[in-house]
Order: sequence, then C-alpha cells, then structure tokens
Amino acid sequence: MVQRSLVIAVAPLVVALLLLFYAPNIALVYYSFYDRVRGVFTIDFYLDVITNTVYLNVILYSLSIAVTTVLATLALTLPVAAYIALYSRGFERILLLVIFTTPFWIDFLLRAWALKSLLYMVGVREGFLALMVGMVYDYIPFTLLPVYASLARMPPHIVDVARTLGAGSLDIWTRIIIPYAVPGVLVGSALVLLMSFTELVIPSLLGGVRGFTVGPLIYTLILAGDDWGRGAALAIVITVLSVLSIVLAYRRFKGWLL
Amino acid sequence: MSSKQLLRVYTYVIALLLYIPIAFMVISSFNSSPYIGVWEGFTTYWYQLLLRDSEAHIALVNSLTIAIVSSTLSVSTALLAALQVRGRRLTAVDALVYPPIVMPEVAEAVALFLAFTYLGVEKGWLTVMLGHTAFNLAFAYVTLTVSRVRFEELEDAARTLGAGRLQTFKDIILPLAMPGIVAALAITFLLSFTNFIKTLFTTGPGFYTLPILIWNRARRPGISEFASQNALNALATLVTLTALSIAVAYTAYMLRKAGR
Repeated sequence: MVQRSLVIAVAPLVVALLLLFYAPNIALVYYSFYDRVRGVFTIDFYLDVITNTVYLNVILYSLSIAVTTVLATLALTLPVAAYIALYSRGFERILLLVIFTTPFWIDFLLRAWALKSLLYMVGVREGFLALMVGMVYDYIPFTLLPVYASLARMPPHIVDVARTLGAGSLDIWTRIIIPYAVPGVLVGSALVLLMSFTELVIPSLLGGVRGFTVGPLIYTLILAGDDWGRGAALAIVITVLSVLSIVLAYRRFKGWLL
Repeated sequence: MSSKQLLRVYTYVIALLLYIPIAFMVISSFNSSPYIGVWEGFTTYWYQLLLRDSEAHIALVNSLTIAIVSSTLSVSTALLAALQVRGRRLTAVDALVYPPIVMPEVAEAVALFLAFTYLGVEKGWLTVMLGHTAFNLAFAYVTLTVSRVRFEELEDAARTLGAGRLQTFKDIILPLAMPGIVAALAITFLLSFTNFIKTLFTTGPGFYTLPILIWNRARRPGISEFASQNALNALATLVTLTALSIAVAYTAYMLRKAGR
C-alpha cells in the first residue's frame, strides 16, 4: 500500500508535470489534427508530412547527418575514453574528466558561435563541412562520458593480464575494450542520435543553404510560416521516430546491456 | 612510442581542440580590429560598449530572474517528492518524469508554443519561465533521486537521542541532502540560463533573454555596432565565463564532498 505522506509529497511534482508538459502535448496533438482555415479535423497534415517528398527529403537528410555525427563522435572519442579509463590515475583522471565535462555547461549556441568565427578565419564558410564540424564538436562530450562510464567498470588490470597471457594489441581492442564499451556506446549513440536529429542551432548558424534539417523546418513552419498543423504533425512524427529508434535499439541490444 | 603514450597524446590533442574555438572567441573579444583574424592590438572597447548596451542589460536581467525562479521552483518541488521517495523506484512517477527528458526539445517547444497560444496568454517572462520549469522539474527529480538524499540510520539515531522532528530535519536531513540539492540547483539554473530553443518558441515580441539576443545578432551581424562580430564575442565571452565559473564552483564543491 502506498503511504499517504508519499502521495502528498509527490503530488505537486506530478501536477506541475501534467500542467507544464503533458497538457501542452495535448495541444500539440490537437493542432496536428485541426485545420484552422477550414475549421475541421483532418489527417491531411500527417499524410502531407509522410508523403510529400520535400518533407521526406528533409527528414532523411537530417537522419543521415545524425548518423554521421554518431559514427564520427564514436570514432573520435573511443580512444580518449579508453585512455582515461585504462591508463589515467588520480589527479590526471579527475583533470581529464573535468576538461571533457566542462563543455557540457556551455550552451550549444555559444559553442556554435565560437566555432563559426574560427572556421570563418580558416576559410571554411557556412555549408556542409562547417555543419558537420559543428555537430561533431558539440556532441563529443555526449558520447565520451557514457563510453568512459562503461569502460571504467572493467576489472582492474584486465588488459595487463591479457597482455601477459600473450594477447596482441588488436586482440585487446576487439576482445576486451570494445565489448566492455558496448553499453556506453549504445547509450551515447542513442543520446547523440536523438539530439542531433532534431538540432536547430548548429544547422541554422553553420549550415547555410545545407542547413535545412528538421529543426529549422519546424521553426519555419511554426514561427515563420504560421503553418501550425504541418508543424505540429512533423513534431509528432520526429518524436515518434526518435522514441522508436531508442526502443528498438534497447530491445535489440538488451542482452548486451545486462 | 607505446600505445599508452600514443593514446595519451591523442587524448590531450582532442582536449585542446575542444577549447580552441572558445579561446579564439575570448581572444577576439579583446581585438581592436573589427575583422576576424586580423589582430590590431589589445582593447577593452567591446566590453565598454557592453556597458552602454541597454538591450544586453535587459536580456541579462531576464535571463537571471527566469533562471533563479525556475531552478528554485523546480528543485523545491522535486525535493519535496525525493525526500519521501527515498531512493525507491516509483514506476508511475518515473514514467511521468522521463518523457520530458527524452522528447526532442524542438517538439516540446512547439507544444508549449501551441498551448500558450491556445490559452491566449501573452508570451513573455511568465511563459518562458514556465516552459523552462517543465523540463527543469524532470532534471531536478532525476538528479535528486540518483544522489542519495536520505540517511535513515542517522535520522533514527538523532530521534533516539532526543531531537524533535524539526531539529532532525534542520540538522540531519537537510545538510545530508545538500550535495544533491546543490547539484540539482546548478544543473537547472544553467539549463535555464543558457536555454535557447524553448525560449525561442515561448517568447513574445519584444521579450528576450541573453541566448535569444545573441541569436538575433548572430544572424544579422553588423546591423548595429552592438551586433558586430567582436561586440558579440565579448557578450558571448561573459555568458561563457558565467557558466564556467558555476561549473568550476560546482565541481570544486563536489570534489570536496567526495574527498571527505
């Protein structure tokens, strides 16, 4: 039986979440079905979003950018995570963790802005390259930390033991480090995929004409175009896509995670 | 070079790369030339310009008041729950708390925009603050339930030794819950202070926070001297330093607690 004091203590949190998060989502669903011009309920907005090739292309383009971001950040951060987890000790480990977590505290907008002037100076203008550099730059900490957290759980000296027993570098990476990194890799990939897929700031500031991904598309539909129906339907479609990909990844790799 | 040394060099190179753009921004904000990458000497001109920049002052006040109110509201609401939940996993509450963290921010922002529009609320300080509080509640609750906030053995000992309910709360429960509270306050304050996307969708004409001001100026550089490259670098540097000093203070606090 649930205690009464517990219910009373949890109630304000639950009510606030219902009012501030769940009620607005009802409005989102409502407007995705409601045609303001004709005053009728319709599924046309959804049909439009999933059949119109313009929207579909933007979604696929955003997905491909997100997947590239995931793969690039993983490739770049796996060696860093391995170094921190396997070789750094005491003060050096704390220092490195502080160095790699601090960017978390600086907002994407500021980091993207800082990167923009630097890229401009070295001759990289707004476009696909600047967009990808911006994505990778901003998401590195989000992949690094989960991967580090999994590697830190490796039994101490396992690498030394393997080496003593005759394992080569390749064996150590493919049979010890990477298997231990898998849960963190999955968590980090899911996180980065989810966030980079719907990113708004980096494509807008760094992407130029190549920066028209789903984030800017929703921004244009809702705030610039006043097209609430399509904007709401698109927001729901990308939410469903994001959540589905997480659930599928979780189901598929559940055995690895446990 | 051994593989360990190789990994070490690589790690520090990546660490350096993470900070080069920020360092470049800070250095540029002291450059007397208005052109990017042309160093003409040291100046504090862009910072003096900020002193006369009334839009930046308004934005700063808005950002600060919203972050303070939103983090206080969300942490106290979440703390009330977390103190009674005591580290148990309440599936029903978890099921309500995680969606705000998982949902794409831009979709959540659209939802807030449509809800406020439907209600006919004038968009401004209140709508932005409530929008920030929606996800801050979730982050505060998760932070407070992940860190241990209750130590029942010590509370029982205090009660046995004659402490009343109030004294137990003041002298035992609150001090022991402090690391979790500080963490939750730091995280929610910064999430709100630097938030851009939700603010963009919940703000009305004429109301802006620092990130919104930086965004507006970054997209139309040069419409006024306040929006010139290095003036913007100076403003961005100050916001970054604010965030960094909170991060450093927070890390130092946590390390000291862990060291005990």
